[in-house]
Amino acid sequence: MPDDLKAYFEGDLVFNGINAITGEYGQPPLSSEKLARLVRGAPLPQDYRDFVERQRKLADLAQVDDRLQPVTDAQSDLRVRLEEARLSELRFKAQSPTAWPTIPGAGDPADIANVGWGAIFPAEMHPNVREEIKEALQPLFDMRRERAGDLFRIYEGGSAYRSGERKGQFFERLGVGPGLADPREMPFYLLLVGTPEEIPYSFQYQLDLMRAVGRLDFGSDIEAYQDYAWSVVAAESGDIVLPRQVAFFAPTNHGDKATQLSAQVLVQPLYENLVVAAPDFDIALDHDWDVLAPFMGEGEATHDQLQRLLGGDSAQTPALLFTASHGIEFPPNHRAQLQQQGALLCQDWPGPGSDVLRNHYFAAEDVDTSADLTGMMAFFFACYGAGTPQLDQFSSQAFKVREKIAPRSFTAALPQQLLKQGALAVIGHVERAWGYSFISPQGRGENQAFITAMRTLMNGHPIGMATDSSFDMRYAELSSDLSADLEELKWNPSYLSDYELVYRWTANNDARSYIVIGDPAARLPIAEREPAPILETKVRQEVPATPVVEAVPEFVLQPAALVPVVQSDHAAIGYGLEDQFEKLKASLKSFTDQLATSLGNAAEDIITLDVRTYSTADIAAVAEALDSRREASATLRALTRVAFDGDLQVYVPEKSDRGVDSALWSIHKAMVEEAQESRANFLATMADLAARLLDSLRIGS
Amino acid sequence: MTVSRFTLTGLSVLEGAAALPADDLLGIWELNASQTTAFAAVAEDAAATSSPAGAVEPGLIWRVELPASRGEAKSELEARLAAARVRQAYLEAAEKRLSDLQMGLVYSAQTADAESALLAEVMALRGSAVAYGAGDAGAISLLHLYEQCEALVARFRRLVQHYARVETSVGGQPVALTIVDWSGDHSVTWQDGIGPLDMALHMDSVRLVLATRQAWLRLISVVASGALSLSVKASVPGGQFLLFPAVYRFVRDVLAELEQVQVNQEAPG
Repeated sequence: MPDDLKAYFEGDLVFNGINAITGEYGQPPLSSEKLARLVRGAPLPQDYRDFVERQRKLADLAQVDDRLQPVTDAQSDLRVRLEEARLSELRFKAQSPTAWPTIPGAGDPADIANVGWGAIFPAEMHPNVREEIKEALQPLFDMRRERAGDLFRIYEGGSAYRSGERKGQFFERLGVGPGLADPREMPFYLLLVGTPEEIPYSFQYQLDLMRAVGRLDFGSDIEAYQDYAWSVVAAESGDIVLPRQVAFFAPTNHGDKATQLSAQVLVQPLYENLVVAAPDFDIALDHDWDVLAPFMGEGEATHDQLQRLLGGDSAQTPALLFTASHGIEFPPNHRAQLQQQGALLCQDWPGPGSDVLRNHYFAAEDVDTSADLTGMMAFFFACYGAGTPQLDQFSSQAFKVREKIAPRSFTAALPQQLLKQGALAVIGHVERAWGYSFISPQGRGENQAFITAMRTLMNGHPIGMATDSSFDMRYAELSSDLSADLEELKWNPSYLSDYELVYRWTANNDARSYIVIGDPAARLPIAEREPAPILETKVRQEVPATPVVEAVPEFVLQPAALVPVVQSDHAAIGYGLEDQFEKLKASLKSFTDQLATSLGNAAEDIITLDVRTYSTADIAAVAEALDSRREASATLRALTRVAFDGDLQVYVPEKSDRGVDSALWSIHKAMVEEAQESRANFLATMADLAARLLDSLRIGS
Repeated sequence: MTVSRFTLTGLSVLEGAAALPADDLLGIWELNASQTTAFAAVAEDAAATSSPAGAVEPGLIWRVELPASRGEAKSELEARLAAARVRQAYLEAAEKRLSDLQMGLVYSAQTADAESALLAEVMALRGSAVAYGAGDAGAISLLHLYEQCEALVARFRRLVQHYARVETSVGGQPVALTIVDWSGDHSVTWQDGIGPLDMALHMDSVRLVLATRQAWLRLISVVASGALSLSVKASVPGGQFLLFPAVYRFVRDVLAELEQVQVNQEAPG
């Protein structure tokens, strides 16, 4: 570990949240000693004063003194929580020889046909709203039902989640046992549908331990549910194929320990790991990935750059994005809290103590309204990046008083917006994200959970599996260890150093709070095959072209020279329809001639099949130019010429600074396949028709 | 924009086009005579627009205007693609019913309406049993049918003459333009900055156009070969042309009949 980082580590702890109003850390930096006191539930008087002062300052809570009662019991809420979480289950998971907590014989957990899929609705959701949401999600439900068969479940009505219910109570009511997930009792993949007020985060954390859980929460925006359902269906039906590209975004704000640590100890090593396809002791990547160098620090991790990565520039939008930054937080009831808390603070912010301006952080409304994010996934390491609980977990841990940090629990708006615009899922953090999550007390980077999650995603596995084998497993181990540590500390105060205790507590807290926003069975729709062979020039960029006039000539009518049609007496004469008869016959003959001519031309052209891909800033102008037979201004980005003998010439598109434009290349390849198939079908049909018409004409002649 | 539109511009300006319905006979595309500005919404009252003298003959433009909701857009396109596949299947069914047609079944109780009408037509032509005067209702009906057939063939001729130009817009924003010529060469122009879902929507638009073109060729193929085989069976002189309108009507009736069956099956309760 570099000395400067070690110094950061040994100093006060800094959390990944910046208050948008004060420009200061949302949670003031804490010394390890102080945090250890709080974790133990034995704060000093000064700790109270600091806490009260902070609450006053941030939220103007005049009555906070009244609500803060002296702590008389050092018993930690954590212990209660751990009890609820079934320690045996946690221990089992931590020690399980298999990565997946499903019963033996269930089969591949990546396949919902083996392990099932279900959606859980809250009982308190109004039936009309529930029905509207169900109808909107029907395409997704249909697809999942078709695959999961009898292992498909919708938990609603009597089987819905009831307000205040803990996981154990929910399971008992439904006859589901603890331990390994038996999909016959309850599916492995579970989608919670509703707000964290209706189905709380604490339930999600615990349910996630032995199952793969995600959440959809678009409030009353029924259309968003529908759009999301179609995005997943499109992605899994093969309509959407994204290039295998992963990008990283990591601000390093001046004078800010947190982001310098996350950039140097989390993001950079993660990037270096992922560029190696099959490192020792890690999950090997099934395919080559375009792992882009991180957008890190000055001039790189800017607001504008993040906007480009999130759909503002489709050529720069990766299939998978990883960010590590501060998340913005607001005082409770601040008018911007529900919409902007958890927004990502970018390099544009000058540093701690500086004002946080609106253009310093990237919020939901900054996503380009025309951005098409279909199929992509993102991982936000940031405070409140996925959501905010109503009650402060930190203060409840330390002071036994649950301060409100928000008017209600809510899902962060940024991931919601990404899902509305096509993204399949986002992994993010509820509440504060802690730097100790990726650093051990000895200053060693501990990125394995991140590496495992990212590699699982990159291999096209469901996102629920990605978190299950990483953060959920880490949570299970840390929680069971911490439980034992706290028990031991009661009898032996020197059993753990403050550093170690703080580390375990924060790491446990952190690992627990990673959640999936979206369908846990969603997977990245990445290309299965390698790119087509490139036999010729690799780059043809910014080639001025005239796509329409040059590429598509009008057919020239050839003189008809086929079968003469001899007029003859016929029954039509009896109807007084001679003229019509003759006109129709002539018309048919003309049509047949036309077909024959076109077939002849096609026979000459069939030697090659050209597929050209252009792009333009003004497609309407191109169309108008086509209408008036003028040259149009467009840029030839890709060209494939398939020769009759199978020889292939390919020009691939390239971006200005980062290699092949994978998105354009993917769609171009799809168009080539489409063109080959449609040409074969079309020519066959045309030839058949021409033959039939010629028969008619011959017989009629 | 909340409503999808699938319009084909350039076919209905033909002489005699009024004889044909305003759709594409497959129920997928709305035909529009107007030559609107590229990517512009097609105004309802723009039908009076005509090409200026000396102007280049307008080509065929297949416009797919989709709602901003990508889910709805995808749903609409999939429904139309499914409809195109269904119509292809209906055409196969019509062809089979044509080939199964036996002269001896005329007017039997089991004979479906479409078959009965066609056989009545054949028998009349074969025996010249009925001779309509020019003002008779039967003659007027036949005249109308002839006009329809001629307009239909003219449509197909134009279809063969021109390449397919497909324009897709989503939520009123142009997305892409593709030209497919008869030899299968594709030329696609994308609006800068669009994402993969919009690209997929345009790909579906192109698929829909190609499927429609394929179905139309199949339609005329079924009619032409049906008229020919029936004229041989019925020994109608010149029957392959004479029966063309009758067989066209038969195929149209079978498509409508199968469509109605489908609607009835889907109707609740």
